[in-house]
Amino acid sequence: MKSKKYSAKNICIMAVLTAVGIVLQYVENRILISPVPGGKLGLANIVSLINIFLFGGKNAMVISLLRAFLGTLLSGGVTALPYSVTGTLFSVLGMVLAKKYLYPKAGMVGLSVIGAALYNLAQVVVASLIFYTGYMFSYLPQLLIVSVVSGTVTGIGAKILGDRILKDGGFYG
Amino acid sequence: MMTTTLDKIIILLVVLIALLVYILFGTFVFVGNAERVEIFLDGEEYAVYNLAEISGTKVLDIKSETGYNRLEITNRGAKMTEASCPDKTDVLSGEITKVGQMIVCSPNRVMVKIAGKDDEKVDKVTY
Repeated sequence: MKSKKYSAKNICIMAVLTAVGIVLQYVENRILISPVPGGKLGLANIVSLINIFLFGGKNAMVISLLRAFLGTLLSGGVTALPYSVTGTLFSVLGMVLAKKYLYPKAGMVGLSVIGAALYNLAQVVVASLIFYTGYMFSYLPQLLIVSVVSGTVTGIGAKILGDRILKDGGFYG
Repeated sequence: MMTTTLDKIIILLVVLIALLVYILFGTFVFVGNAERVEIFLDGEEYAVYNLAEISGTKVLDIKSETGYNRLEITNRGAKMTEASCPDKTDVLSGEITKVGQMIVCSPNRVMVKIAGKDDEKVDKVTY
């Protein structure tokens, strides 16, 4: 990154990306019905991934949590908050660590699948705590299969977008 | 190139973990015949029905702090036919008939589960 981290331009880009994430989450919630309880495509994850590369882990975490909080209030309601916020927390944390230690051996798809799997794992843990039963873990296999599919799709999205933004100048060109 | 070798290994690992959890549940938890329908509200037992004792269709309205759920129980199993929550995940779950299958309504904190014989023991182990 060429410019200063907290320049006015960067703060604007962070705000715009937060808004883009909220819209993606909202639109996805409106048009897609999950075949599995709790499963989702996670289009907003594309934005989270891009953020990690543009602004680093801490900023990406703040932006993603803010996006998850506002996006869930808009579309899912208050009861969905513990799932989406905890899921996003662990998902972004996992992707930040994966980027630090596995990138570039693992590409966007690998990072994205790790993020999606952790998101769903966190969801199952939260559900277990809310419902006081380990039976929730029986949802884990199908949710993990969903994460492989959704993680691959969003990973490819992030790769296409990332190549343009990060390598061809993009915001800074 | 969209995926690297490590990407493929990561995908394979996630699928393997999914398979492992699936096999573990199938071998140790989801065993025996379906005997009871257990309904939980707020993490506490709300009602239990013996499948063999049910004739026809029993309609149960579950009222929670946040709304309601309508459950239909037959001697085959149970299904949620109506719910006040916005996402309708529970209604879309369809009918559950096998041991261990669940219908969950997260907004209302309602959980419906099919249970078999020595389920109490297993429940404690998995928790």
